[in-house]
Amino acid sequence: MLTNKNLFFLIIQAQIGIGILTLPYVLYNKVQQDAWISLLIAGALSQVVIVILVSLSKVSLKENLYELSSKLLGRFLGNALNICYVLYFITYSMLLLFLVSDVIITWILHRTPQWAIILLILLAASYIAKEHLLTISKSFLVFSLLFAFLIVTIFFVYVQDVHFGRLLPFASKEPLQIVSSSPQAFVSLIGFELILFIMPFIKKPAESLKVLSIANGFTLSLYLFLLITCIVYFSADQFKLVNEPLLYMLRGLSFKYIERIDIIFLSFWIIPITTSLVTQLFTASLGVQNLFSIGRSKSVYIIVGVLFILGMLPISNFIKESLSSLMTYLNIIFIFFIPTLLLIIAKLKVYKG
Amino acid sequence: MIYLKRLLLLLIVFPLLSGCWDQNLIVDQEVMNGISFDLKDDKVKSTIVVLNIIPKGSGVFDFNNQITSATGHSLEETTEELRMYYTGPLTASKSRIVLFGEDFAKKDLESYLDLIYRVPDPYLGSKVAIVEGVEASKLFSLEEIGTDPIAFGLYEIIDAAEKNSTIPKGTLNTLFTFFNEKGKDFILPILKQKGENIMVSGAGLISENAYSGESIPLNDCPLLLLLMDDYGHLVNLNSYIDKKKKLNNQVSYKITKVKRKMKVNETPHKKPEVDLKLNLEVSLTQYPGTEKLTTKRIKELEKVITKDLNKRSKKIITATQKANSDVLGIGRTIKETDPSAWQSYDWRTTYPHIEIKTAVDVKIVNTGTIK
Repeated sequence: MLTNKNLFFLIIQAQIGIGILTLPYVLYNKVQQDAWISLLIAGALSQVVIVILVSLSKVSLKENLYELSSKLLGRFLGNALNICYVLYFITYSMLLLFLVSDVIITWILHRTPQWAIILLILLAASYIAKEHLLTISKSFLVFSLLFAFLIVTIFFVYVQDVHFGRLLPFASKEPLQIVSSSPQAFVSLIGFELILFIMPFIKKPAESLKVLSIANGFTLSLYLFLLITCIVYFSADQFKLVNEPLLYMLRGLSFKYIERIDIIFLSFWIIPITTSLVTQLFTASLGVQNLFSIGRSKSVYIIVGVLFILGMLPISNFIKESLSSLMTYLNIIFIFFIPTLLLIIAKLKVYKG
Repeated sequence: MIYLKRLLLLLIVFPLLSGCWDQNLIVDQEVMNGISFDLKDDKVKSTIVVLNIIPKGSGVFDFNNQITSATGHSLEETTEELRMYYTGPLTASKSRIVLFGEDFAKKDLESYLDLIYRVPDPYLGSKVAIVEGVEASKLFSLEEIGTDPIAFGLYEIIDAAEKNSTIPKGTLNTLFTFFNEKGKDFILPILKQKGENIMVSGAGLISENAYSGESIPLNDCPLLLLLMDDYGHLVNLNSYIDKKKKLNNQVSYKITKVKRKMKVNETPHKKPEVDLKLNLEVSLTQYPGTEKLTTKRIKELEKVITKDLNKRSKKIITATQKANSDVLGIGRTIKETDPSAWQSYDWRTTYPHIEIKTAVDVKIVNTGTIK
């Protein structure tokens, strides 16, 4: 059974991932120095979604979403929804793999073929994902120690030439523009949808809302810190040029004995990215297990096989880009709209029955 | 059976772990330590220094610089030629210094240096400088500075000048930030060769990402950095005690505390006015006299220094306006505090004509170890 501590680390590791590498770039191009306001709005939005998700999973504490959906929607519709969810998780994992392997190829391993990187990440992720949830959360706890080291590294940026005036003028963009770019930030904060699938494993379900809110608060403050560091570090037009601001920021740092912190940072940042993949694999395999009644570790291997084959496909940048923009909508549909709908149906059923 | 399985697994895993595709052994690579760019007959001339370290046993090393040049229409074209001179793949991942010849520096530097920022390999912690008087590549032919190999020596010279507040801290990385900063220009150190030695001879004012040709002389540099609010560990200045520039007539002081306040006032006729107030607390380091410094004498000295610094800061500001180099970042301040006014200016044509009032106030708080 998961204690509150286990749950906390599961959620933050599911949340923190590849999103933050490109998020500053995406947000800055839309609302410049007001990017952090968009992120704050997205944080509030995810808090609302967390409340919805927790109340949905509290409808039946003994069942995960895959079991609950057939109960609420009937066998046929429920299964159809479950298939959609599994496909969503697989697509999400595939996009994540493409993005992370792209970053690694551009920054560190220029000549390594993409399939090799994807294979290595999949091997590591499946090794953890096939285990019991408690084992997963314990390994996540160990990985979380890394954050302390990575955050300290970022603090060294402030030794360099930062200019806090770059945060000014305050809130000068159109409010509508700021709000409309917050979905982009919201997408980088997701990961808490995991709660829909792990409620039966939690020791104290009553406290899950509190734990999830704290986890969300942690992720949000970490992202805010990183985003604001990027804003005060880069000059306006420069920010619009660099794809991965977080890494570029570290590229210029140098100490007497260590240089090229960016590469070291990226090597370590692969771990939180992989843990996000692990949670995706976990939820997807739970769905496969439910749909086809095969063992969970076997379903992990099946999904990993599918992902590896997909990863070998020659996919152009254009498709990747359209896939990522499509993913923004898919995330919002699968994490916000469908759970809300299910919650309404559940409440109506209780009301009727 | 289980052992056999594990053995098989290990055999599969080992080749995967060794990272065979992207091995870059440092011994195979030719590491360029210094790079210089000059302009010659409408072509770029790139010169690089590759340091070969020759071990001589028992921890003693000897070194040898291999210097080569190539010309071409772009940096990459010259690099392609330069690669042909060396026994291994060239890499800029440990370069220490990047020098620009005077003519090259007068071009739009950002567009020329794009290569350095686009490729992830080059090291962005390299120091950058403009070479005046001779071709930049000439400096490398000195081979060494003191006991340091030339590229390392140049790095140390610039690093020392940064600590002495002659020039602000700068690397290729900060240059990339400055290139894209609207409403603020920057400074690059100027190097000069004097005989067998090289010195930092002043601060070159950059306008629109190109060297303006104007520079601030060495003894005014610390004051400029104080005005810019971008000084280093040590700030030392001198002033003549009375107007005559004669032998042993200078009072010297170390700045211990700085308070700077810049205020931009809008005027109705679309020309901002700037008030720059600088309050300095100083500690004396040299006074050419044998008498004990009385409170009255200290007050007089404060007046002398204040007057001198005011005069000099006015001169510095005039120079930056002449060079059209807004090193104080006045444009940036307007952009941040009054975005609508910023929109209405064409800053390049406005800056040389705005009024900048500087007011320096000096207070002697310490006379050193003797009165």
